[in-house]
Amino acid sequence: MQVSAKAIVPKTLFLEGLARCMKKTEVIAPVKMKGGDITFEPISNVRQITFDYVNDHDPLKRFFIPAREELFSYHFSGNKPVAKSPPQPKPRVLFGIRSCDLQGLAHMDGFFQGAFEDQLYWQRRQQTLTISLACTEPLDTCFCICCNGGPWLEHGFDLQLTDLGETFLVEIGSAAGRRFLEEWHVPCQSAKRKDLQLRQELMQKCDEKMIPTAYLAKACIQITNNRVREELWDEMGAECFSCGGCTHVCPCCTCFDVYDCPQEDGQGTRYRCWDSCQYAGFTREASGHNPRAKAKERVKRRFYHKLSYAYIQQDGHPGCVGCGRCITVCQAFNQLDVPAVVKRLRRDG
Amino acid sequence: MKIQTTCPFCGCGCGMLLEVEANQVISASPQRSHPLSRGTLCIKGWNGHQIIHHPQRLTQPLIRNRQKLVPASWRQAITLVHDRLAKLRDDHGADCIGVIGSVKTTTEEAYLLNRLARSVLGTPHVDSLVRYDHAPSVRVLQAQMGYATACAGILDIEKASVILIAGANPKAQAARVGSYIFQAAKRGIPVIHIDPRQQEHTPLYTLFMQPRPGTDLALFNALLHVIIARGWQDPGVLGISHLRDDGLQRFTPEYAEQVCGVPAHQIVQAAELMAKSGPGVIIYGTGVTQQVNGTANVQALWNLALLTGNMGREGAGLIPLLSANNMQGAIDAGLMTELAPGHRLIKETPTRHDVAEYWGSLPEKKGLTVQEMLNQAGKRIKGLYVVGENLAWAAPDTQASTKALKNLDFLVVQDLFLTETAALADVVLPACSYAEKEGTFTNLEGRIQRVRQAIRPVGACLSDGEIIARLAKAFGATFPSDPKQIFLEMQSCIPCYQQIKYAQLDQPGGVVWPAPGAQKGNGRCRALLGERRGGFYPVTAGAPFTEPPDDEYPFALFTGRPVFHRRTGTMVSRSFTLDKEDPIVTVEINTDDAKALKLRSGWPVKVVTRRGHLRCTLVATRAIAPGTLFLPIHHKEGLSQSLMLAALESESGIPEMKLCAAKLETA
Repeated sequence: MQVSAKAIVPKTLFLEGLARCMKKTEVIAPVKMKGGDITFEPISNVRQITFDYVNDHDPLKRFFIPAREELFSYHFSGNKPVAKSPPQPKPRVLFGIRSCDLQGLAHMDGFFQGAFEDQLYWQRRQQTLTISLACTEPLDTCFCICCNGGPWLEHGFDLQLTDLGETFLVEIGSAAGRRFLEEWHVPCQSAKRKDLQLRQELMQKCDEKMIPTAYLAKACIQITNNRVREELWDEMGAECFSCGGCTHVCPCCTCFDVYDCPQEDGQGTRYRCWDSCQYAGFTREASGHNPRAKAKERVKRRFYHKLSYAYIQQDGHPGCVGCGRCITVCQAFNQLDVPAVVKRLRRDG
Repeated sequence: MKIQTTCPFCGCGCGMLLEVEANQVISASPQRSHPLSRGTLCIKGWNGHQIIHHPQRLTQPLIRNRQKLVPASWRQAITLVHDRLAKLRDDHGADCIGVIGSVKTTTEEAYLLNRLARSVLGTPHVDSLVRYDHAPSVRVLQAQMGYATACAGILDIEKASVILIAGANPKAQAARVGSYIFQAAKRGIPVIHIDPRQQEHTPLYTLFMQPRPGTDLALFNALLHVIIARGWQDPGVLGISHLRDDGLQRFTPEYAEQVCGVPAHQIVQAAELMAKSGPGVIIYGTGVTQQVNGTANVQALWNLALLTGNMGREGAGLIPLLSANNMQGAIDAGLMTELAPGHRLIKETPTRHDVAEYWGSLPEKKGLTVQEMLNQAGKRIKGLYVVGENLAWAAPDTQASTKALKNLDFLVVQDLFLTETAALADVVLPACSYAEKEGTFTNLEGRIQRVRQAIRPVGACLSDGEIIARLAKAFGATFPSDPKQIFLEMQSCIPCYQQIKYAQLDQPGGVVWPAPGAQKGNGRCRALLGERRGGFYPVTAGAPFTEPPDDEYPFALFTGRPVFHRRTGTMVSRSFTLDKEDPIVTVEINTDDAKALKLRSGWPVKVVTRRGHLRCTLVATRAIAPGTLFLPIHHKEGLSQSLMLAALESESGIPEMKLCAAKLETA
């Protein structure tokens, strides 16, 4: 099979291949927790995998930039400081991830290999094989079709699966994806016209089920041309709880902060943790001056980054993949998530 | 791996997942399946986990040796605590020992501490910091319902047709409650806000009434007056058809306007909204309780709920905004000196019989409250055992409380960090955080939820329950150690827990006591009250403000809770992200007052009261009325509590921590 080829594999055989892989490589897959929450976790048996899910509440960025990670630790050898790096990441397979998350990863790749290459991020990224599962049933919060974030992708995956009932339609997106199929003896047959047609029908149905709620274009124009009334930002700022949830669950948000944990004996560790542009401490300067002291300015900043042309031109796409997590996570329910704000901006002039 | 647990910050009890890798908690994220939080967390929930691995965590017991705290083994520490407490008891009687429990540990631990104090040490002086926040609520609700708890659930806010908030900032203090109020306001539900300070969400509400600090009782009574005088009361309630000779007659809206400064027409509008809108929820916080009229205020709000028919139906009731994760659990476990487990008064003989079956014996009378123990430190109280509270900083008049703690013969403190209180101790016992132990928290609506162990204990820390059990063992008593066993024993002593099956606690959101489903359709109050009705007891004679403004101290200073500072900052100040959010202590002044004093926003000033002073940055604002100053409760660079009064309210023993007279000086 060549890269970009489309194959058909019985589901059971694909999962057997995954089980063989699991003996040598860590496999992270969707698991249903007690209570019904979905989480992606390392598994020890393919039977742990659930297919009864649309998405995890947390974006997969946590596997590439954890919410809190050690950058290095240090100690003194005599008078000489000695730094120690964290262990190198091991190879792993991310199975069952959704298109929007993968699109979010593509966005993060751009950030972490921009002006500065982030070693920790890239080591993890290179050691991870992504097997995505295209969506056939959206949630009522999904709006990926508005942001080109899904329900299936043209590229950016190692392997993309579409559930056709008894079989998976497997699209090979990279040499690493092809190697996975070969190494773990996943028997592939070329997809036939009827398979492709079935997949097309499934995708079309999924598209139809999705109510497009975020017509970005007008909102982008409004923000880019600074046409949004200050009063609207005032209103939105007053509503915001500044919990930072929207940025923590956003597959496109990359901001972090760095802090030290020194210990009395001269040892210490430097950590990196997620930060949020919705927090006042994020932009406070050493002098104490804060250019974005008010919630209003921080909400404005967030949507400027998501929707203004300057960033769209830089990144090649808006800073949103339509996963809809900001809708669920927002304390100011239905007011400050992307579709809600896009709607408010569109109607404001 | 992710572990489901319950957020340890405010009283909402949001569901949370802790992500664990190599025995380290990496992150906290919201639990989508949780019926209350529904996949949301506030800033504290998202970032509070950073305290777990903070380098300042205590990792081994410390004992005082020649003025210095030095590391010791558990055996040494427990033996020392036992020997010193036993000696104090032998020399001065059990009455000389005080025990102060936590509103943050699990209910099981609160229960064990209560049992240790009352049945093993034999002292009646056991109390908790519920006293400083909601002692008046406990007093009124226990007397009215037999249960010191909210008469409505948080989800009742969704079903309410009108909402009244008094003396609270739900957005900052209990964000999930704030979120439900916000959603209701956006749906067009009338929201009435009574507070001396306008908050961020106030402009979204229908009506904002700004009484002068400390005059709430007159305002609440005026609402009752208007409702009765105009015949708007709920016809099914009490048969009150006219204003009786019970003192309410004089509280006309015009009279209240004179006292509180709230326009009479606003009072009438609020009364009409409360009486005519349908089911209504009344939410109040420490703005109402931490006053010299605290109990009267809560009784007046109870009267209002009763008069408007807001008891015993869905979408209606009275909710005290309990400010800690397990304040309700501490109340349930009887960690207040007047209470036995299960909301029953200790002075009642049948209660003592019930509890004594498991405990062996317990004191017959109530003992001293927290503040009374501090006042008696070195006199009646010789030894003090403080669990999970930074008492030196939590108490009003910090200098006096620190001095009191230094007067003790023996002080034991059990905590995660070397707090200002622990630094004064003779023995410091390192306790596990919420991520290192099992048990339950009960949120402000009585929702009992599991707390699950996510990692092995940090250093040599032990859970509070295990430390208490080891101490009990040193005194020759055997306590259960398994959280399930403790819960089952608690159920025998706490009647309102009896219908709960332990396995039910595993479901997302746990169980709301008294029983799952018991409150369906009629509100929680009906399930609690049964066929009884609470009483309408107008309270009209409010005690005067202990320290009114005068020529020397012309401003009425009041405090409030911001988002980023909680209590004494033991936890919040050790989260890197939270700690940098709000580093500057500010004092708010009305813009006109600032002009008159020729002061401007951003200038350094000194807030001076009769107890001390605090350096702050001035903020001139229209959010507060002229003649008032507002100081957020802040744990950095000085404490607002250090300026406040320790005067006690006579009925519930709550200190008047909210208000005092102050002046401003340029720094």
